[in-house]
Amino acid sequence: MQILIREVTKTSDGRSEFRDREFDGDALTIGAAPDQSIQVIGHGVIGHHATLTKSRDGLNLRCERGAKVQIDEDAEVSRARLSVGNTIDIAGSRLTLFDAPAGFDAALTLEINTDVEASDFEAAFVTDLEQTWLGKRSPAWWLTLAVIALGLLIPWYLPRDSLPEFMSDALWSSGPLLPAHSVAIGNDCRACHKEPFRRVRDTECVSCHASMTDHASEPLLSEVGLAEIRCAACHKEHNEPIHMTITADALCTDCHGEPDWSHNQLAAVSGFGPMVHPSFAVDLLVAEPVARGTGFVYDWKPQTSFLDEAVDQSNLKYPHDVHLDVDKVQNLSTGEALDCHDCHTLSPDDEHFETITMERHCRSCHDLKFDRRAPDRELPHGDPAEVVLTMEGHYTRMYADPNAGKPDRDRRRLPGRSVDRDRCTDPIHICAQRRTAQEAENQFTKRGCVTCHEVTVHDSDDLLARYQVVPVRLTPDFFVVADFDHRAHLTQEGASGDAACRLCHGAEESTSSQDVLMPDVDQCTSCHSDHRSNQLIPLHCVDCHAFHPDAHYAGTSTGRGRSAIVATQRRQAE
Amino acid sequence: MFDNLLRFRNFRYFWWFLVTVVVGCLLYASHSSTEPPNGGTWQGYVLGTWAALLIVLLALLGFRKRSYRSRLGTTQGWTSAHVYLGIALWFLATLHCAAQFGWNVHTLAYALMCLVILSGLFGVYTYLNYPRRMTANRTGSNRSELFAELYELNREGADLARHCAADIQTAVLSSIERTAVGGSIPAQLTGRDGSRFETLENGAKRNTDQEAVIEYVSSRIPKAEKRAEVAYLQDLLAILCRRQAILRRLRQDVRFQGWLKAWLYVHVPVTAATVAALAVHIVTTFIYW
Repeated sequence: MQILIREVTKTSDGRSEFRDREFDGDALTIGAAPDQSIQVIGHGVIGHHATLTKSRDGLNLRCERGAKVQIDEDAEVSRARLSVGNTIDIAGSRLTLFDAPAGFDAALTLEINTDVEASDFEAAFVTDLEQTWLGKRSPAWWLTLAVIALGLLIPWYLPRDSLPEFMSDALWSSGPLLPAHSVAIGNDCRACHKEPFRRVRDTECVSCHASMTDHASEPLLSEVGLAEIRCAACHKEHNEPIHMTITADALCTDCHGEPDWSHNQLAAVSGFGPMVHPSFAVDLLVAEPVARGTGFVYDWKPQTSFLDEAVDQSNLKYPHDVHLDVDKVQNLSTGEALDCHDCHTLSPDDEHFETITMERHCRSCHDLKFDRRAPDRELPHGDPAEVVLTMEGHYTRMYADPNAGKPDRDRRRLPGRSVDRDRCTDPIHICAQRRTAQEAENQFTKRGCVTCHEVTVHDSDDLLARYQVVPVRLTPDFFVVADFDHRAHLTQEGASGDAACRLCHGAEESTSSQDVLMPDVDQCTSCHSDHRSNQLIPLHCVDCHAFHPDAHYAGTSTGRGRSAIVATQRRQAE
Repeated sequence: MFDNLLRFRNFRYFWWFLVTVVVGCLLYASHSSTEPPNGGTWQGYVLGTWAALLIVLLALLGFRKRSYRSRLGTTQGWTSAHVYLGIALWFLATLHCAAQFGWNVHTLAYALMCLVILSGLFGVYTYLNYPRRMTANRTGSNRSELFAELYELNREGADLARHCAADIQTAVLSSIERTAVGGSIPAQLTGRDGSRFETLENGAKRNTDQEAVIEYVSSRIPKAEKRAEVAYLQDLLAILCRRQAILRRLRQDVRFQGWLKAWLYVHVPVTAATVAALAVHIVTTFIYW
């Protein structure tokens, strides 16, 4: 669209001056702003006041919102169709359409009203942000509604499955879940938060953690008020760092620091260090003879004792000092002194040790040969009656053998011993029984079994019932209610391997297997403390003690773990 | 007045700020070791409630400022309290959440609050600096007087231009018409000059800071054909230079005033959003308790 604009100005002497210019564009803009095609300043003229566009037989006029113009000194309008002869009046400035010369689509005369107030002149400029599209009230409402809709209403009312995660109730999560929980329930908040505006109940926890044990058994649990404590009181989700187990000592010492003596008689523990943690009590096993049938059997009972009075009653004769003395015992392979790990093999849990057995740990040195003329024969281990029967069978065969009485040419006679010792002229079975009785007495009371075992000799004519070996059971766990990482302690300050073992377990000075080679609390507190310092390694209650006991010991008032508490009570009562 | 905003009644609200922050920190430090600090401990609840009440109190300042008839304290006192307690709010809210953040409605409330506080701090900076600079820039006049002066210069310039040749007439009259002050939001805030002018030879050209038209007229003086035209051109040049000086002041004035108000376009709407997000934060916390 090409428009001829003829500007008419009056000179001071009343003459009219004309200045022509061309407009070439789609829309001719009129307004107070300097970027308009025709700038008109005056009262009520806004920055972009009106627009002229081409129509079929003239021009179309369209005013901006709130703006109006006067056409042909008539009523004010906001839209009009203009043709030649029409005049537009905007605040005294006039635009008149006249016949367009050749080559133009339209032609206008423009008479600018120069009689303008200074204030109107100022109003022609946009000098305040309020005059722009910026606003406060409208964005405030929109933002408020958006926050409430996206943050509350949509996650609340729309089904979760129909929403992307960033619009679901996952938005309400105040922090990350424990990875295990995250894997188990995903982002399903309602797996735990069953009812709105109600705290998570224990039933939601135990629906998965069905085997979890309580800290104590009833009625103690209720008496001390633990039954009313919610799981979530200690296990808080949605926190950072992601850690659901409270490790602070206060969890324990709040109650155990000053135990309620009306409910139980636990020793007070206010932390870990000298004087604040009681001495250790060890869990031992004691074999008690119990009458059964015509004889008796041994029943193993738990017994807990403080270390200074503890006596190991495993019924095994094993002096550690002898076995660790290189002059007396050597490793068969290397010829050097035995190491701790020759017998004690750490279990995969790094706390306990593999069970020591005769077959695996003792037999390579302690064979069970009983007849030097039959060096390949060994007695069976573990059953005294079987031992007697084996010997009887052996001697019966020996006396039945016609060559049995002949001296062994390969062997030399021992000084002071008759080569005729095994000669017998009685019937074979009499000879065998006599010889068996001799050897059984030898094995059970002088050398052989009695070397390692306690043997009870009964006044019985029946050889099978005469000797009873007291059964052996090595204590598998001296501190049932405490955990300990042996591997972590295999390297200590200035010692590693066996030397580290001996720092705590004084095995080389132990002359009897009745010694309990367990260290007391002061051994631990020489390196550990419940507070952080440069000299000591921090150690918290839960590093050794579990709040939820193993299911095996939970709820058993006579269980072994329980016995430690009973022993503590006893000491405290004294 | 603006200095007094911070020094109001001998730093009264600074002490309020200090006490709030110190008590908040002590409360935070009292967290037991049984649980990491978070918004769900009793200390967290106290800090959160305190911060929420403070948000409501601070938002009320918006209403108090418009209620000039109120006798409940002075506007200046409220504003001073608003600034100091607004900064204290950031400490309280951060202690409340123990700096645990995530993509959730709770951090949304915190982020919006931070936006409000930051925009407010910028507002304080402008209130403390810009009025003084605006006064210096206006050299004793107000904005309307500057526009009135510009208007007069425009008239004089146009009259003089009409006595000159057509090329000067076109250039000067178009430069007066196409003079820009303010305009779009960026133009107001940066003082950018979008002025243009037209020449018979080359059509429309940029006329930033009126330099081009002044250059055009001054270069035309030696080529004047009549002595009288030289005199007109010299007068015209003087007027164009005076226009240039006033336009510079006006643009600077618009720029200062723009920044004095711009932060409010963030501060006010985001405050509303913060109050909404706070409500959502509280409700959703207890929906999934």
